[in-house]
Amino acid sequence: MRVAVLVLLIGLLSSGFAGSNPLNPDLSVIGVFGGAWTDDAVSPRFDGGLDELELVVKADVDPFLTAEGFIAATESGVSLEEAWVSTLALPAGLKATLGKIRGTFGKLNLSHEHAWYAVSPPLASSFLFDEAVLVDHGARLAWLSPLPVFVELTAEALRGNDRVSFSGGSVPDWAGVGHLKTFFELGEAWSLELGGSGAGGPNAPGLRTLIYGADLALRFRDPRTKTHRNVSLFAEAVLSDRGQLDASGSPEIARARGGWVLLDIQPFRAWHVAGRVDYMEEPASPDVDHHAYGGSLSYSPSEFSNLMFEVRSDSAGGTSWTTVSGRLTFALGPHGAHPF
Amino acid sequence: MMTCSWTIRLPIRTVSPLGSILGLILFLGSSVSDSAPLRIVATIPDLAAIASEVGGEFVDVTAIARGHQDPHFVDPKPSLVVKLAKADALLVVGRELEAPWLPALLRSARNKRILPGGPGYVDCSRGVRILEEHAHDHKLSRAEGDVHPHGNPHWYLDPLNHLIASRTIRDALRTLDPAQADVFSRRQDAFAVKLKEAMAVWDARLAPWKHVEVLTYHRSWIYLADRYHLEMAIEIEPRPGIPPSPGHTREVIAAVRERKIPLIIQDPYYDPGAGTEIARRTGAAFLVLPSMVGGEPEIRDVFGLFDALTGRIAGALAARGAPVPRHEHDHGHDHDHHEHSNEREDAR
Repeated sequence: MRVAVLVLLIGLLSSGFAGSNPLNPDLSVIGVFGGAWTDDAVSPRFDGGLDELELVVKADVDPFLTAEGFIAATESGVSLEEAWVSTLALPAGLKATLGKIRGTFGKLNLSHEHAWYAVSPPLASSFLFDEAVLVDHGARLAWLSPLPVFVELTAEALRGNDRVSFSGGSVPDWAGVGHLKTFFELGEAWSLELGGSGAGGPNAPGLRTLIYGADLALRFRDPRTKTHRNVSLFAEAVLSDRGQLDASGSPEIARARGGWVLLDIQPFRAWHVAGRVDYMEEPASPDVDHHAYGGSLSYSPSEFSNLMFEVRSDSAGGTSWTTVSGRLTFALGPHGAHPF
Repeated sequence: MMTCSWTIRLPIRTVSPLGSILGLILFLGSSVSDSAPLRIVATIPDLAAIASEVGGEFVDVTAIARGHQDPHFVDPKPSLVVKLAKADALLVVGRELEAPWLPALLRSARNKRILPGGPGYVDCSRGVRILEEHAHDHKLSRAEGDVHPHGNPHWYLDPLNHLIASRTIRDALRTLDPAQADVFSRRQDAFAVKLKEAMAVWDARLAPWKHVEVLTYHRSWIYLADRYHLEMAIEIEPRPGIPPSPGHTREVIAAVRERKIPLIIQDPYYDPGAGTEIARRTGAAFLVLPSMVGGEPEIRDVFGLFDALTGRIAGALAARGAPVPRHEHDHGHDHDHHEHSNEREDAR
């Protein structure tokens, strides 16, 4: 029913927007079908269907502001995924954003799920953020340095609504996120991106969570290569210091470490093969560690559709399980580039 | 360390100490200096080459895409944000060629000078004759492939459009640096004279091959075909942006044999596998041609580009023997159109 409401909304918007006025916003729809089978005794053996239908609206507001909105319909309801307004040309290399935004923590968190090189999120994201993504209401200020290489410093104040690492809205307090991003071109084909992140905020009255992260993206994308053979290596490492009460009721810091490495190879224009290795200690119980490794194969018949399959093996606490999952993504309408 | 983009660096004028101080003040104020060359970023090398011709020593030009790179798919690297953040002007092909990657870069660049509507945003498609432009009431579908709603954006493969773009760029440079307005006008005039002379040579070179049918990979060559009266009926890719399947390649082979198509043309950034196979099976000549300035290391400007294109196409067709025009008697309207177009340009 809720999906039907969104489809109706899309239809109404489309009929009003399509070709009627060049000043209308760009309107696109991203659909994601998913399915997964697992031999985990706890989870269902198989689940699948329409994961999400996402409506994206974007346009420049005026010469000073631009805005984007992402509304998602799932089986559990229609929700506002992201919506923000951002400045276009503040002086001194500054850019301000206000709204419901993805926290600038690490590399992966800024990418939409359908742009990931794997079907499932890494363990680090799953254990640290609600639904594996840090997204919250707040404000962002990003400063682009005047250096000849790309150096960007970002600071964010978020409401702290993430139910996993922060207060989940039960305590009216704010979380802060900071990120430093650098990018270097190493010749025509190679590039290296290095980043460092920090996020902190209350998770309960008197208790705080601090998360530190480092991210790396090393890419080989040769524009001379006629067959688009590319290789990318992504890695993130995280350290979580979670304030909590021990068995005696005294405050303690639970320190958990984790990270992942993903290697993506594009052997042909339409194909990607990727493998990822994951590790994460449970933030609230660092003695329990999780391991995962998996591989994915994806095929894009055009730039507007993608079919991906993933096989992943997880182990934790002496048990292990395998998950086989698939995802079909399609995009209707204009769809711009994802962040590089 | 090499950089991603292709850069044309020209000598910077001698600057007085006072000019340096004023320039520094103006630079810190993020405005255009009277003493420094204008920093021009062009999305493709062809526009960069025209800007260098018109701007001379008063511009410092950088191209984002390389000549051998598919301009539809440029990685929006953060390093490009740095270039755009400092640019005085941005030259775009327009017609949505850069739509998949440029808007994201512009939003990150924080440079109001080069935003659409800003004084430094120069849409070089303004004034050129756009082909395959869809009527406003024509409903487009992605089932047709990666179509461009505002017409075929590869207008830079018609040398006449370089002439029109040079006027657009001249006007933009005159606005951005009024002190050098006369210089820009003189240089554009000289470029126009040189280009018209060269175009006469290129026209004569391909004149014997009017209405000969050629097979191309992508419809990027339609402007070149239109200029030199070559016929383009089918493409190797079944739809724009969709790579050919083996089944479609077999259909193309049958069509090439049936229509006796003597020549296959392809941009350097597409997989040559299907074109090679079609040529092998049909006996047609297969040319991977530079479609932009810089497509080959020795092609440094528009003159080198169209010299190579017309020369190699004429050479390949001559090697296949006498031209086999298709439907020659049906093209009276096209002749009129081309001649009218040239006359209009000469009158400007």
